[in-house]
Amino acid sequence: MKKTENYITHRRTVYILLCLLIVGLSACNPKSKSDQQISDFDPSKDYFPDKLSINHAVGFDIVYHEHYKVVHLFRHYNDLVDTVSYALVQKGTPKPEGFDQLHTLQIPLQRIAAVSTTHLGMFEKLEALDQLSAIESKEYISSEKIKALVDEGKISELAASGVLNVEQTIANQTEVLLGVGFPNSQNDRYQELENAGIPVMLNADWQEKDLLGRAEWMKLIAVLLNKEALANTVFNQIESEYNRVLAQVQKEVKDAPSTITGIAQGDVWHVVGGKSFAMNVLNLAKVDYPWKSDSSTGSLKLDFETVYQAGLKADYWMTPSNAKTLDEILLHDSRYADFKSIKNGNVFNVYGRYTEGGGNDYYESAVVNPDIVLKDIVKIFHPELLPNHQLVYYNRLK
Amino acid sequence: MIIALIVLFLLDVALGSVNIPLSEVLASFLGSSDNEAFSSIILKIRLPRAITAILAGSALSVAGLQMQTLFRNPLAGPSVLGITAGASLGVAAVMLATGSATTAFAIRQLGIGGSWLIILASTIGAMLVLLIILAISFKIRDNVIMLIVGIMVANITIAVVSIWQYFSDPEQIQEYILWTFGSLGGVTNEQLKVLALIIGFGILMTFFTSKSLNALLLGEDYAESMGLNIRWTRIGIIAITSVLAGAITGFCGPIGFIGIAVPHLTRSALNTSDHKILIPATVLVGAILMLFCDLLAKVPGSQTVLPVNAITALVGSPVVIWIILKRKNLKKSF
Repeated sequence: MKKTENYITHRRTVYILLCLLIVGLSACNPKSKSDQQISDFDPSKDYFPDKLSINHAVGFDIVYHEHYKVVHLFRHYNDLVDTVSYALVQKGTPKPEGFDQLHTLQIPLQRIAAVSTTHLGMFEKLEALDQLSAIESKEYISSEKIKALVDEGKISELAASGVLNVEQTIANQTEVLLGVGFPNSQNDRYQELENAGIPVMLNADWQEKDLLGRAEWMKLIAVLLNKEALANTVFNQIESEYNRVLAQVQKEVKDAPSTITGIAQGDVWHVVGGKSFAMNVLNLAKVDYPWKSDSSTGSLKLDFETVYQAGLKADYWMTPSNAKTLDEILLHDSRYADFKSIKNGNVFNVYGRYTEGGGNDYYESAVVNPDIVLKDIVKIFHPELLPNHQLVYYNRLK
Repeated sequence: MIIALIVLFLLDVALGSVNIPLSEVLASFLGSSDNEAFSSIILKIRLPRAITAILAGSALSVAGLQMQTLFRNPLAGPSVLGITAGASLGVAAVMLATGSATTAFAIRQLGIGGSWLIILASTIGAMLVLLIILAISFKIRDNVIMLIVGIMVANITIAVVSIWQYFSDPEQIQEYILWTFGSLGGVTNEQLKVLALIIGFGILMTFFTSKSLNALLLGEDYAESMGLNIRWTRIGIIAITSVLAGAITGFCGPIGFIGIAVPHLTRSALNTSDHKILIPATVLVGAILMLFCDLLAKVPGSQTVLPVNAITALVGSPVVIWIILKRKNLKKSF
């Protein structure tokens, strides 16, 4: 009898100790709750009640499943068209079949490296700077917030010298690197990273056809972070403001001022093609352009005198390469003084938010502010439409 | 030949991307044109371009001739001394460093910008290499060693440029690469005055060297026995070549081929090695060939333009091969 009693007491002590241990453990590890780790997996449960749909961008798509999402990245900037797919699996749930280790990511991600400045504005819009673990280089960015985080050591620089440092990227515990999907851009470096087990998502926002398409790439970052709800709110707001300005242009603009673009380099003058992104932006503001019926999506290579002839009469001159003042243009070639746009002071470039170090916010936050870019363009060509708008990304050369 | 030069010059002015009727071309020349766009194109774009072509063609050809005779080597040209490479280094320093390097900013602050900055940079680059070469030529008598040193100096500068390119942004590299294609159209009227002055002076100096060059062809010992100061002759020839090649490279970019091809062309066509005839003839042939290449590069009637550097080699090489094979008199000249 005594033995039994003793046994019970013993068992009780073990129980109490066990309970204490469990309580202690869970108290010590409060992270497990905030990480949304799901211990008891329910295959029929929808883990992503908020969903995003891609309506403008052509470079990627998202498909939702119960406990994972599939992201398709379409590459069509070179002759080889192919699709790369990634499974984004909710932490604590099983991995779906058909995806190798490299293309399976545990979301929400905590440490993302983003080497294009066009991503940085997206992280800020999505209030996700804590998850941005590394950038390319501080030198070329404008965001004061991100610069401060780099100085504090919370965000690392992976390519301070201009070339991506593979070892540092690995040492930085990068979960995924958002690369830039130019043809042949640092491709060997990306390959090295993938060999080391760090997935590289090639972002090709630059090849989108319009401003909203580019801005929509913020949704790609949102799905990596489970920030669908916020992304929807932010993007819808941008979209409706953008459409409001567009409708105003459609309704009120009657005349179409003319413009030329670019600047001569040697004997050649590259002007934007008739089906290019830049032309698309000009079209929004109903601008007349000598090569608007051209069918190229990139740029046109023209002889100096061809563009010179058009420049004599054109009302405006947009983005003369990296010229920041009218004097700079005239020093380049004194013949530009004959242009109507120079005489009237109607020369504009994208240095409205340029930092001395070489950073340009046009390549940073402008990507996620297509409504402001549109307003800038409308303000330039039809100032009477937006009397209260001040140019943000564009500037008038003096 | 003079007639051919005049005809090509007029054709080069009359033809281009923008279709301008002949009557308007004449009216522009006489200042009686009503069409402001046409007369601007003729007087501010095509005329300076055609004159630049003549200057570049003759300067590079004469420089090439001098180098071939001095080194008694048919493969020599104005670029063998590393002067073109030096100019490239200067330009690379400006184009690839702007934005980041404080020096480039400082230069801009001085008010030198755009095309003048490029010209200045390439001239300084060419001068630097020239000084090195001259310093070495004081010490070394052997022309073959001189030739090799020149090529090595060129390689060193090219290597520096390539390291620079490696660390530069794609846009900056593109700007630099465009410069290396060569351009005759970037020279404006006021720049043309400076260029014409330098080249005119250089070619004039060349005429004074014809006697020395003739003597050099017979061998250095022979030349010395004729009372020629070999060292100073050599230094003088190198200096003239550097000025000619450096100036053209500065204003137009590195234009290849003309300098090596035209002397052969002229020698074979005239079947002589007398520099009293060769020098003026080379000036003419160089100008003619350059105008012809420029005309082709503009692809009259189309809105596009081809790099003049590619055209010179593409058009010139077969001509040189044909003439040399036909005459088979190359050996006699060296």
